[in-house]
Amino acid sequence: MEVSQGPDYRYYKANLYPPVQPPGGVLEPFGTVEIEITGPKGRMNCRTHQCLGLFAETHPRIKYQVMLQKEMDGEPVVIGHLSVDRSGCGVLKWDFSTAGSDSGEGIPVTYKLLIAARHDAGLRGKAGGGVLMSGVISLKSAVRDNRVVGFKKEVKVREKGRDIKERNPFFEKVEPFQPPIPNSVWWRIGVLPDSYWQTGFCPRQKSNKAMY
Amino acid sequence: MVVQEIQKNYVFPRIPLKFQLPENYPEVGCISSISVVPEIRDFRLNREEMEIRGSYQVTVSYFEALNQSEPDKIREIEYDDFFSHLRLRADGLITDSGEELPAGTGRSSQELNTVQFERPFHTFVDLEFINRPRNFKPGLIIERVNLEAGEGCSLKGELVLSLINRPRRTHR
Repeated sequence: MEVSQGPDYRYYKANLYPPVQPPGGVLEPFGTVEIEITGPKGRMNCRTHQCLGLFAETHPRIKYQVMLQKEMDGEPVVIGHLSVDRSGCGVLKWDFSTAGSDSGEGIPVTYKLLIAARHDAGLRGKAGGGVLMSGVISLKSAVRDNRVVGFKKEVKVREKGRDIKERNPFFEKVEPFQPPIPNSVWWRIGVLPDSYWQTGFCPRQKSNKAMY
Repeated sequence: MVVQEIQKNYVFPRIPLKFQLPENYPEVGCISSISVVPEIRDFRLNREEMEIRGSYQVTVSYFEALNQSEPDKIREIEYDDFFSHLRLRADGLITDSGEELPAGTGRSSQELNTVQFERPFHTFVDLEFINRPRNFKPGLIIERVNLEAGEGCSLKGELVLSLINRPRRTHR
């Protein structure tokens, strides 16, 4: 029984090394990248070693960017940021697609994967600026990000009064907090109705004036 | 789109890998990347077991091993010095060297060597471990790969494959 018309599954694994060899030491990988490509879809799993202590509490604010650079001298594209898993390793999962980019000539596309601290992101044009580790991998076809950028779908809130409020001139939308609190809508009553100022009947009150 | 979650069916016992580098290839310093492409040539089913024949292709890219002694000496002097960024010029003046450390895998001047190996395999799998053998299109995925530099010009490691069902799509 003939099964395959060429393999549609490929597995890649690349080691990430520090940019400078420690003096007198052996160069050991700081992390690994695993890439699985099934047909046009691909998934990348990036993982740094625990012993680095990137997410130690001494510098909790630093974010670590994962960047992909094509052909060794193209502009690096930021894929995402490392997040911590339970064991303290930096982890990133990235889905991509290779559809329509297979050259068919069998020429591998060489990519360089960089992990850099975020505050050094401005230095990425220069060689070696802020790069913690890097690795080289040559894939069969070019890689394209398949995340949708243009659409930002919001969760629809089914509120009865909301439509009315938006059309009502008495209610105006305000943003009382700077910076604005996410996922919150604030309203201010703009023009107060007359009945707002009329106090109700109160026998103790001498005059029927409005109290400011 | 997310990669289709594949139901894993059967994990093969690990395959020890032993590769000998071809002639004129330099010694392995550190391995940059490994690529594995398993392929099933043909398979046969009978009542008890399935026979699978195929091959896996392993591509290894590596950097040449360095001679440790000399570069280390120079590095030690360079990096232990507080004024390491200042270079003494030939005329005795000190200049600030603006050059940065080379990016890369610590060895950007070096070439990446790539070797490819292909090994056939021929195994039998009990059908107990596979569900739905009726609509069965076997596929192999990689569970784990490790590869290290062995003695001399050799590579040692292990490979774990697993068998999955990849049925054909009914619709396009």
